[in-house]
Amino acid sequence: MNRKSGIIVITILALLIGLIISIQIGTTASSDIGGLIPVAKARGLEQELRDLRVEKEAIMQEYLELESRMKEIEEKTLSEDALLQAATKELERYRLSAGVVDVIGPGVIVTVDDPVPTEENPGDGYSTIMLRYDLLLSLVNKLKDAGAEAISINGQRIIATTEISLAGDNVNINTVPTAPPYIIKAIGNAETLDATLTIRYGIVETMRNTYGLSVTIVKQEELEIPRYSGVIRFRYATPVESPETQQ
Amino acid sequence: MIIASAVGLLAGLALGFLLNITYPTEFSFYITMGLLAAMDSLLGAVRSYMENRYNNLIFISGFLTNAVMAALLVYLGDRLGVPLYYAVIFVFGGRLFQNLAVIRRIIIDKYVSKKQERIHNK
Repeated sequence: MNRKSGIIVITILALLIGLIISIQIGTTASSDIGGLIPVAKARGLEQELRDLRVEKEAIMQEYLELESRMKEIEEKTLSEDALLQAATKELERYRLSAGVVDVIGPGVIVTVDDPVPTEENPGDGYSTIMLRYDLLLSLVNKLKDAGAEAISINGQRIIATTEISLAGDNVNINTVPTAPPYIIKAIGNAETLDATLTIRYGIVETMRNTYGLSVTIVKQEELEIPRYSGVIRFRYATPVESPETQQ
Repeated sequence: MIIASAVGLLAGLALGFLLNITYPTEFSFYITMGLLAAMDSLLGAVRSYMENRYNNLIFISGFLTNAVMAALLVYLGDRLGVPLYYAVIFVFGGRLFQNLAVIRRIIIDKYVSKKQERIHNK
């Protein structure tokens, strides 16, 4: 009697072991890293990441070199062909308006920083300008209104797809995290830009009086604004072939 | 005895592959430790069965407490950041081989004594 029940119990236990083994095999096979991540594997992946970063750096360098060489070749052929010359000029204009070239010209530098904590107003530990990042958006909007031809915030060029948005503890601009102080450069008529910003009840006054931000505007004879360094890619939008197809 | 465990093992393997069950990978360690405890218990049961000392109550209670202790050690080690599961691996692993050695000896003894009996009968 005891022996018989013993066999049954042992069979059940063996069944359980088989079940666990097969489930474990299934789990390890289904996830490519496996059930237990061995330290060696994690180290390997870390090393791979480091290598890829170095590689990316090298490729970026190469890209810049090739770009400058292309410019040289363009300039060489430019003098020969009038049609090409016109086309290149057109291209240069589009690139200028797209914001993918460094530009230089007169304009203003606006520096926006958080209020200095005082004894009666110690602040709550959060950055005012980061929480009210819409002020930056309005500032950029006003600059465009005043005819700014190129704008950058903390080295990030404002182009058609640029976002200014709070993401966690950072304000992302062109998906690059930024933090105060915000240095906004704008190329345009310096007088007009300055006047538009500092007009009564204007954006700068609001920032200073309502939010206590420190805002300084410096007019410059010449300032340089960097190009947009990201990749512009259209995944959904395609150009319409001809006006007829639109109807 | 051994046949029963082999049949159970194969049936379990087939069942696991057919049902295609998965569980979160965080529990992987606990399952592995449970597996070790189960394997130890199985060999222990086979051994005691061959020694004619098998008892259902001892076997089942031993299996359950072993599995719970293993899971507890793994959990505690996880919390403390100390690899306490080594204790589980060493103890169950060691016992696994020890039980295997005893089973092997019993089988050999049986085989040898049978042979001698046959010689004696001749």
